[in-house]
Order: sequence, then structure tokens, then C-alpha cells
Amino acid sequence: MPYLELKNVCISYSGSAVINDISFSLQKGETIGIAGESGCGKSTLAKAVLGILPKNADITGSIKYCGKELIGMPEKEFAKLRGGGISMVFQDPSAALNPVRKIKHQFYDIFGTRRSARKSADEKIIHFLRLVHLQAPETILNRYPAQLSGGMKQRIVIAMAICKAPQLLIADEPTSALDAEIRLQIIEELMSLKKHLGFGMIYISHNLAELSKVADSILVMKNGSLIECQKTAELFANPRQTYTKELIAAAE
Amino acid sequence: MTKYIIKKIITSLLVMLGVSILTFGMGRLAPGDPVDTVLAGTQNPTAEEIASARAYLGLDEPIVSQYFKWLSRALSGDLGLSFQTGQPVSHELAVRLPQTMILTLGSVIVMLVIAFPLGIISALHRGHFSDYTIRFFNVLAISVPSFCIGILLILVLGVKHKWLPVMGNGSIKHLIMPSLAIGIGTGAGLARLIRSQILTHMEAEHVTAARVFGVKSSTILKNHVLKNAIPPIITNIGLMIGGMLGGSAIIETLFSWQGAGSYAVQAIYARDYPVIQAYALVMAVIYITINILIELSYFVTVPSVYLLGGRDGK
Amino acid sequence: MVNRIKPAAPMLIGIVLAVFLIILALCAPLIAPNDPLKVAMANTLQKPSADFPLGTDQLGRCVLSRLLYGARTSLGVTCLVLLITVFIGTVIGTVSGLFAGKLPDKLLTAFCEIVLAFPGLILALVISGLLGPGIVNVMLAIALVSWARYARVVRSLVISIREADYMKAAKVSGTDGLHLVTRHILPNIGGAVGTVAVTDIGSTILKFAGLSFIGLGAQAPEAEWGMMINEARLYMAKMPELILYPILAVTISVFAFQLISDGLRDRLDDKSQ
Repeated sequence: MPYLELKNVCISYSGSAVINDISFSLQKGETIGIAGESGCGKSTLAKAVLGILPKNADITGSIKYCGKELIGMPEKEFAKLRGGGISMVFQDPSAALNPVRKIKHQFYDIFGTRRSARKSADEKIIHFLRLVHLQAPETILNRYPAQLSGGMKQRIVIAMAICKAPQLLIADEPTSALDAEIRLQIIEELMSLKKHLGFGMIYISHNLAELSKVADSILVMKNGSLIECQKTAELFANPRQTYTKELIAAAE
Repeated sequence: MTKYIIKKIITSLLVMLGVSILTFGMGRLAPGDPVDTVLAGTQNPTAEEIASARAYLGLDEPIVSQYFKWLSRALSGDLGLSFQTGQPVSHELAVRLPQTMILTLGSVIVMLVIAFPLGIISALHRGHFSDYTIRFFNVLAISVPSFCIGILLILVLGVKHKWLPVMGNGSIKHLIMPSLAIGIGTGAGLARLIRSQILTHMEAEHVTAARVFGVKSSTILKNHVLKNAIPPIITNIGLMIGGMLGGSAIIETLFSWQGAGSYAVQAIYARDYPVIQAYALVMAVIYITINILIELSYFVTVPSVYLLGGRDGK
Repeated sequence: MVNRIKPAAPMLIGIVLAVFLIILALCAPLIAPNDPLKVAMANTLQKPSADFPLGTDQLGRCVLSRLLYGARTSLGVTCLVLLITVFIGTVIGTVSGLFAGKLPDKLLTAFCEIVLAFPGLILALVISGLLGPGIVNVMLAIALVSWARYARVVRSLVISIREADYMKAAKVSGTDGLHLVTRHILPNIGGAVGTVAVTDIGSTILKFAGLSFIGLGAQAPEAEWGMMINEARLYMAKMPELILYPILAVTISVFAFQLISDGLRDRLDDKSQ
């Protein structure tokens, strides 16, 4: 049974279609890359899988996670899946962290830590900060996001995303808000975590070169439709669509 | 951060200085001889007394040095003599100001008690019946002038049921109606602001992120929405307190509340310029002080606002 | 999408109410059943009758007629106050914006800061106290404290327009300063300033009513809502409706313009998104 299975998913905002009839599936431990230019609906797809589409969005079709239908799932039930079942690494870590709270407090929120249990929670947080290779995790606990660099913040966001041991991690352009020299570090970080923790991953990027490093197979999206889907090596060796060829050319 | 505090304080002091210049100028523009502000208590002043009063005010000197004389006296607490009573204005103000403070405090309490529940409920139930109802009453409440709310309260609670005294100070009972009169309208205004701030902050990416990371929705509301919305709300509360200090003159007059506002209104009727001038100066200084204190209070509560370099926590 | 073109329902209600009020104010001499100033000590504090649909006040004057003429006073004064305010604010803001960063701008900006440092109605109270009571003086007093906000808005608009390309082009082609202001700046800030002015109508009505209530604005025997409320206080126990009518009149007027102002603000927010 596939971990995640999308069948004929269509999404529209107030009547105008954003996603047209997309189907694919993801096996345990597999990484699927989704490529396409900005505005092609990649992020909408990610939101649909996480059940965080805005209220004016209409969605039809089927999204199954471990056999459970996600579309139409009551919010209470869905909320339990987030974090521990499916989680996400955001594009801009500065926006994904609350600017007015210390890092440790944002972790307490995620763990639902009570005031009395903070001491032991700190150890857990430090463990996860170490896992994403952050130096001096003890001092980071008391920092505000604005006191940290972009790369450090993205590592923290990754730590937050994986700290509840999700089965599926969505990475939505996780490097595009970062400086060029840090991008590779973050990609490597995600790959090593994946190997270590064994989650499946959907890696969304406009950059095919980046996807070629992480993805087992790649889906190419254009204007809300899936136009090509191949194993990574085959896609690069033998792209079927001219659009894909353009993307490959742009990546080189 | 310290640099920022110092800069803020210096700006405020400069604004206060400007306020004093403007107030001094208005006093000079007032009809009548400024000498009267010194001789108000003296019956039939002699030529010598007038001459010494002129020297005291520095009327023969250039206007700039007159201003500095006036300012240094004002700083030492000498705000001139009341035309009506001949008594120092500062003495009367010292008695009246605490009453205005008490009334403002009462009004702020009413405002907060109204605004937070209504604003939060309205935001959380956005688009539902309760939201529309609250918003309707908010618009209505800010459309009724505060003195009209006061009159309606007097009609119902004072005249009809005789539950509360309709005028004077002295007890908590006296405080209730004037506080409600000022607090209801401002509370409704604040509720609208709280609603829109909460809705704005709910759209923040870190709120979505918290949802995705599996944070409980009640925790998100408390720690990711309200905590972030508080600094701009508090800044606005500071501005609203200004409106209350200004509006209180009318309410104090309505309820015969012996505060600085009703004192100033009586002075206006009597053309008692030293009192009017002192009132403007003191109220502006209080207002500026409140706002700078609120600004500084952020250092204790949300230091990160300053780390970001943002003024209103955005 | 459709919602943005059509005004929302509350705004529509506000517009209908406001238009209705404006018509009442304009046509007051035609609709009013009686002379609002005519004193008749013989029939004071009467209950409603055919001649006096809302009864008479403590001087036997027709309450309905006084309310209608009161609308004239309130809306007329508000209109004039806003005109004066916009004029002062636009002149100062434009000068300030044209000299942005230079001494005149710094002085004017500091002056704005100082005027805004007086809380709420206090400066207006003080100015009308210095000028003495009366409608004209109160109008001046309100305008003299309200212009600062407009000056700020206009200043930032002028600066952004000056930086826009077409102004640079206009400057290069050698247009003189006055031409620049009348042809490029004023037409471009009109909409924004007008919007701010409309959102201020409600609060201006409130300020005027408040100052009239404590006796600084309209003077007897004029018909004005704030003053009518004040006069009716003495008869509150005996005839509460006498005080309720003008209160209702002020509230409905402010409510109408508040709805319009909220609607305008929502639309601006939509645009900026």
C-alpha cells in the first residue's frame, strides 16, 4: 500500500481552477520531487495534503494517507495527523518562526509541554537541535529568531518539523530563501535525516538541479497540471516534454 | 536597545518643548494684558505693582527670554494665578488632576473589560452571527457621543431607578456612570482594533507553521496570535487614553466631576486664560509621558520587538 | 471579485442613510412644519400633536423643526470644517513634501508632531476657549487641530509622487513649480485625501456636538443637536423624549458616516493586498 496516494485531485479558489486532475503516489521512504515555476500550484498541492487550504478553496478527488481519506476529514482528526504524521519545512524560515517568542517556547508549544515539565523538555529540544547539526544548542534555546542566521533558522524549522517523528515530510522550496552557500548544507541535512529517520518526502522546488540531488522520481507541473512524471535519471536523460527540456536547460 | 530608548526619550522631550512653545504662544495671543496673570489676586494694583509684574514676566525683554522665564517658572510648578480666584493655578490643578486620573483609570478598566472579550470572540467567530452582532453593536457604540451615553445612563440608572448618584465625586458609586460613559465607546473602538489585529496575525505564516507542526489550536491562539497582537494593541490603548483625557472634559462637566477637565471648561466660560493654558500644557505632558512609558514597557514584556527594530511589533 | 466592485451591504445602508440625512438637511426649510426659532411660551413642553409632530421644547419651539434645522447646522459645519482642514493640511503637506528633508519640511513636520501631542479634544477646547464661544470659532478650533493628520498623509503622497518617473520627466522638460503642483500633485492626491476626509465626517460631527453640548459651539437660539441635548437636560425627568430625539439624530448621522467610512477602509485594505 502506498504511503500517500492522490487520485484526480482538483482544487479551485473561488471558482478559478488552480490544480487540475493530479494523481500520483508515494511509497514508504521514497522522495518525490515536484518541479515547476512559481504559481504552478505546487504549494497549493502541499497545503491540500496538510489540510490547510484557505476556506475559499474547493477540493475534489481523493488524497489517501496510509489508507485514510484526507479530503473531508474532520479538522479535529486532521489536527492529530499534523506534526506526527505529516509535517512540512517552510520556504522562509524567518516567516515560519514566531518573531516575538524564544525558540524554546516555540518547541514547548509543539510538544505541549507543561510549565513543570520544561526542564526535561529542554533536553529533548537540545537533542533535536543537535540532530540538525546546530552548534551550541543550549544557547539557542533562549534566542529569539531575529538573533539567528537564516541557515540556523531553517535548521530549527527542520527540527520542529521532524521532532514528532512524521512519516511524511513535505519540503516546500526549503532553500530558496537562503544564501547560496547554505543551500547545499540544508539539502544534505534533509537527506541525512531522511536516511536516519526513514520518512517519505515530497520535495518541492523550481530548481531541477536541486531536485536531481534529492528525488527518486520527479513530477513536472505546469499551470496546475501534471505534465510529466519519470524516475529522476530517466527524466534528465530523456525528457518527453519541451517544457521539461526548458527547465533542465535553465537548471544547467 | 539603550540607544533606542535614549532616542525615544529625547524625541519626547523635544515634543514637550514644542508643546510648551505652542502653549506659551497661545497664552500670548489670548486677549487681555498678560500682566493680569500675575496681578489677578490684587485689587487695584499700584503702578509699582504693575511695573514689578512686568519685570517678573519680562515683558520688556525679547519674546524668547520671556518664554524661557515662563518655562522655568512652569517647570518649578508656577503656572500663574487664576483670574477668577487669584489663587495659583497649580494648587487647584494639583487637587483636580488626581480626580481626572481616577476617572481615566475607571474608564480604561471599562474599556478593557468590554474590548478584549468582544474583540476576541468576534475574531474567532469571523463571519458568523455572533461576529456580525458584535460588530453591529461596536459601530453603534462608537456612533453615540460619550456624553449621550452618559445622559442615557443618567436617565436609566439615575433618574428612573435612582440606583446611582448623577453628579459629584467621592465614592465608587459616583465613578461608575462617568467611567461607563467614556469606556463604552472607546471599548467598542478597541474591540474593533483587537478583532482586526487578531485576524491579521492569524494570517501570519508562523501560525500556519505552528498548525503544521501539530500545536494545539488553543495554544496557537494564545502564543502565536494574541502574544503577537498585543504590542500594537497596547500602543493604540495609549493613543486612546489620550482621547479619554481629552474627552473627559465633557463628561466631567456632565457629571459635575471635580477633575481637571471640568475645571478647564469652567475656566473657558470665565475666560480664565492662565487656567486654560496650564490645562493644555499639563494634559499634553501627561499624554506624551503615558505614551513614552508604554513604549518603554515593551522592553520588559516583548524585548524582541526591539531586536527587530520595529516600533509596533510588526 | 464581484464584492470589490459592489459596495458591501453595510456601506450601502450607510450611503442611503447619509443621502437621506443630506436631503433632510438641504430641504429643512421646505419640510419643517414650523419656524425652529419661534418661541411660544404659551405651549411649552407639549406632547406631539398635528401642529408639532414631535411636540415642543421648554420655550414652546417645534422639536421636529429644530431637529431638521439641526441637521443643517451639523452637516454644514462638518462640511466646512473638513474643507478648512483639508485646505490647511494639503497646503502644509505639499510644501513639506516638496521640501522633503530640508529645513521647511523639518519645521512643519515638527509642528505637526506638536499639534498631535495634545490628546483628543484638548487643543480644540483650548483654542475655542481663547477665541470665545460661537459656531465659527469652534469650526476654526476643530480645523486647527485636525489638519496635522492630513498634512502627514499629503506629505508622504507628495514625496512618493515626486519620486515617480513622470514627475522626473516633467521636471526635466522644464515645467515650473506651480504647474508641477497643479497638474501632477494635486490631481494625484485628491482621491486619497478625499477618502480620509470622508472617514472623518462621523468624528467631526461628534466633536462639534460635544463642544456645542458644553456651550462652546452653537449659541442660543440656534438649532443645533449638541445644544438641544444640553438644554433638554433640565427636563430629563419630566420629558425624556426631548433629550432622546437629538441624541438619536446625532447617533444616526454618525452611524451612517461610520458605515461608509468602514466600507471605504475595507476596500482600501482589499486593494493593498
